[in-house]
Amino acid sequence: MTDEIIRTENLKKNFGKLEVLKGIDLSVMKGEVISIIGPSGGGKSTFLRCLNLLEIPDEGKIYFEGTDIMTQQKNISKYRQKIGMVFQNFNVFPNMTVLDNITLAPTLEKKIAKKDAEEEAMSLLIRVGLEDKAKEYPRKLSGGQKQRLSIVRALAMHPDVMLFDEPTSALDPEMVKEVLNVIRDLAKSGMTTLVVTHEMAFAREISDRVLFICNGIITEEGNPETIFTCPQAPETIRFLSQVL
Amino acid sequence: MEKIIRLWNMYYMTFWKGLGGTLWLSALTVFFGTLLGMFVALLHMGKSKILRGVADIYIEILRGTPILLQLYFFWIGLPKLVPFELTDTQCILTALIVNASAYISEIIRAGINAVDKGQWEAARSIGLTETNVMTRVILPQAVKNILPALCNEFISTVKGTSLASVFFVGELMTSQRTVQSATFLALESLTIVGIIYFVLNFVLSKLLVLLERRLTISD
Ligand SMILES: Nc1ncnc2c1ncn2[C@@H]1O[C@H](COP(=O)(O)OP(=O)(O)OP(=O)(O)O)[C@@H](O)[C@H]1O
Ligand SMILES: [Mg+2]
Repeated sequence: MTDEIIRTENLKKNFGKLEVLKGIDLSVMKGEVISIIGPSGGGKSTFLRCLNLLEIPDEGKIYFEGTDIMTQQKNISKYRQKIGMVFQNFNVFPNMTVLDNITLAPTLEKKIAKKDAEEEAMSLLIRVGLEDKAKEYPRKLSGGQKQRLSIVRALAMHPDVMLFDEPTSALDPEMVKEVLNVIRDLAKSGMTTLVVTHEMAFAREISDRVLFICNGIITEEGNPETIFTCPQAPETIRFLSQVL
Repeated sequence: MEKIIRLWNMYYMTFWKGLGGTLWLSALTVFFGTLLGMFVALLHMGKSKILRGVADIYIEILRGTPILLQLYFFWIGLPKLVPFELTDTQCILTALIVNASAYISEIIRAGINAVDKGQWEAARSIGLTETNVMTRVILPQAVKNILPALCNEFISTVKGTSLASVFFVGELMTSQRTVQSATFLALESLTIVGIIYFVLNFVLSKLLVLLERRLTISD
């Protein structure tokens, strides 16, 4: 747990005149589970999206296993293969079966034989309890099932890091648990995980560290017990008193 | 009415040939217009500002000037530009293709833009190259939006090709002119050609409705 996998230095991002990230410094260790909380519009999603270069930062550096990835933009897709991302709105591919959703990237970008990719996809589906949906199209799935699919779609590329951006915010309450369980298992298995979430109890339970992002900076960070029981920064105190 | 039937009985081969020419011309126009239009659309949506501007001007000019003018332009200008001989039909066909490509590129662009932004992000996040994002994830979904509009374009192309008769290129309107000059029955031959156009487009637009229904069912 001591090797650093991701480091950001003074990361900044603007949308036009709006400064969304104002200098984020973060070091993530291998196997670490980090929850990111904070008020709406604070820049949590933008920060995650910068980490896999879905947004290109305006300033600052991102190191992945010691390499400055902004200088590697030609290999951007190779880099993204190492970082799985799960979105609030699932974003599964509606025109492909569940199985094809999962095997698309491994067969195209890793040149894995279709048969092997499908075999692995099936074992991933079993892991999240979707094995009987393999041949279905996503329109037949519930929200919770779609989200579990999007998680295994990312896992099929064997990423070193998983990013979750409010993975349960678009779900009906009864489906939240099944998705959180998958994320919890993944985190426990040693996957380096960054999760933006409004599920405070979950964040408290699974995290090694909690970041509070507000107005484009990390205003407070620490272990979950400290953050949730005696927060220091006034922004954190106000935020937690509203959501807890 | 009798005259029309007699005219049809005498000249139906000419009209059939004209219809064949119209369909052939329209099919080629839409087919190559789609290939060219795809290329223009990709430039239009690409990263390079300059190429985007070029595509924009191309589209604006073609949509902002009358098609008849464009036909004349290609008919007179194109043979001077190329080192080999061109028939009138080739010049006119080129003009029709170029004209259609402007409209079709906008159809393609709109179809692509209608695909949820989240699909781009998800496809990129699993590490697909930009080419694969486009060809494997976005375009297959965009086709659903593009296909119906493309059929519409085919219908308006069918009508648009009638202008080729100005240059005596073999198509329906030209066959009308042939028949008219042989028989001096202007209204009658126009009526026949009008009916053919109408029936053709009526059938085509019914087929289009069927196609649209098919596409929405599979959603
Ligand atoms: N592509 C964009 N273009 C312009 N503004 C954007 C864009 N993406 C985000 N923003 C703005 O940046 C700010 C931060 O957005 P971000 O989505 O990162 O916040 P967040 O902390 O994830 O909020 P939430 O909890 O609501 O998801 C917001 O004001 C948002 O409107
Ligand atoms: Mg967000």
